Amino acid sequence: MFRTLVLAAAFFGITLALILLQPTPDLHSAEHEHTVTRTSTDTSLNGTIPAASFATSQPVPTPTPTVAAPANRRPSGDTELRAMTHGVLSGLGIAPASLDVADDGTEAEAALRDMSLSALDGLRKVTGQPASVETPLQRLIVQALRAGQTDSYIDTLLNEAASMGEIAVPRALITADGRVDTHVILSSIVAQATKASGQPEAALAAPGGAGVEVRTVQRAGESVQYNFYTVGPGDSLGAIAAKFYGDAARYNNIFEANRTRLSSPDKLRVGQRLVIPTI
Amino acid sequence: MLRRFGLSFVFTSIATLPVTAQDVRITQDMLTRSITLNGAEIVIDRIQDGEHQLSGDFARTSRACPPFFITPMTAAPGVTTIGELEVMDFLETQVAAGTALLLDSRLPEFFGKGSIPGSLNLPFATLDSANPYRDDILIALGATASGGGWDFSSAKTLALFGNGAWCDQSSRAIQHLLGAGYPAEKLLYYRGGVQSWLQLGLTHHIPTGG
Repeated sequence: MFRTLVLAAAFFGITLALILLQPTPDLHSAEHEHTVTRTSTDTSLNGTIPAASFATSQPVPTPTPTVAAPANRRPSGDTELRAMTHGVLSGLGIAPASLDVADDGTEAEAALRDMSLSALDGLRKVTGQPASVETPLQRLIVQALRAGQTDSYIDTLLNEAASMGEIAVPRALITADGRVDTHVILSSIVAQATKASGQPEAALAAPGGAGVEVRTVQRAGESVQYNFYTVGPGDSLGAIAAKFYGDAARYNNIFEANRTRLSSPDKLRVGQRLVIPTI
Repeated sequence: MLRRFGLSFVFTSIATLPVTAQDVRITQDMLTRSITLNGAEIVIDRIQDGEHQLSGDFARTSRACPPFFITPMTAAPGVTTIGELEVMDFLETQVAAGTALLLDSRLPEFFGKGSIPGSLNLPFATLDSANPYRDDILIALGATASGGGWDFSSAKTLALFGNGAWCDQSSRAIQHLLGAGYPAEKLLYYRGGVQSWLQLGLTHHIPTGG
């Protein structure tokens, strides 16, 4: 009888401990998610339409911490743009600093990246495939730069080749008016070349200018800041990523945060209001 | 009586002798199998000690379920399930000819502890469409991008395996590949995985990090 009582008490105790110790959902982050959705669906336009103007020599700014990044987004950084930039640089005989993506993202993202890179390394060793294949786009840019052509000449060249279907352009480099964003291509090449030559990068300017909107929302005693950007003519997702993060290759962060409005990275519309997550 | 007992003892001792001296063969007419891959020879044979038993992780019978369910015999319609002899044939013919790859779908940590000779590590998670490197991996497997989709006509035939019948990592890798459009007839599934391989005392290869 006594033994039964002891067993019952132990069972009760363990059950109670399990109930008390079970993980509670993170209410704080859930609240953030909600706020992001609510605020970002506000589609009122800012009125100002920005010109796509940021100079090659002026690498652009990282905004102050604001919105928590949405959960489950794809790892930041994309190989497509980086690979293109590095491909052009090596075509020009400049050794890029490193093909590794920036040291950002969570541990899980870093683990996936390491795993992918070492798997690729192993596969390529066996299949004898070169690490990177020069694309027609890279070849065209390298030829034009070698010949000392002007930016506007290269712009016309790339747009003609793209409209003829001769080159495949990363979708983040298609502007709201359907053109190839040559400006971002050339500025990311210059930025990488500067880095490769060991020169310090220019100081980051504060985010601002046409189309940028910073909004502070008071909620439950704390103020949260959001960045918004209104798409102007000539803007590509890559250009907006370069404007806010200083790196066109991070366009995916913006794309993922605006999936409800963007069906694909090349489907920007002039006047569209995008939420810019903090990374 | 005693003599009779002694005689039978001697007889049984002699009778068991050839058994312990007999080779542990792969098949009746094959003791070892030697395969040349990329200029390097790999030799697959079996542990000759008739008393040998597995110890450690691969001797375990029971694992909490979920996540370690028993997997079905077929990973997906059209994907052929194979056993150890077929894995060796696959290595000797298709992998040696450069038209196929034997892939360990487990995480690098497990691959590093040892795997089937001639296999490459391609963790299942890297084939998830959410991985930004997934397309690079498909290209490394021989796929070519064509008009917004993939052309797998010159892609390699792949045989995938995981820890064993209780491990769904290779089935998940197969699902990811099929999701990307990889043709089912170019995929093979070695369901027994590393545990079945070791259970038969087959040669285990520890990657040298090169």
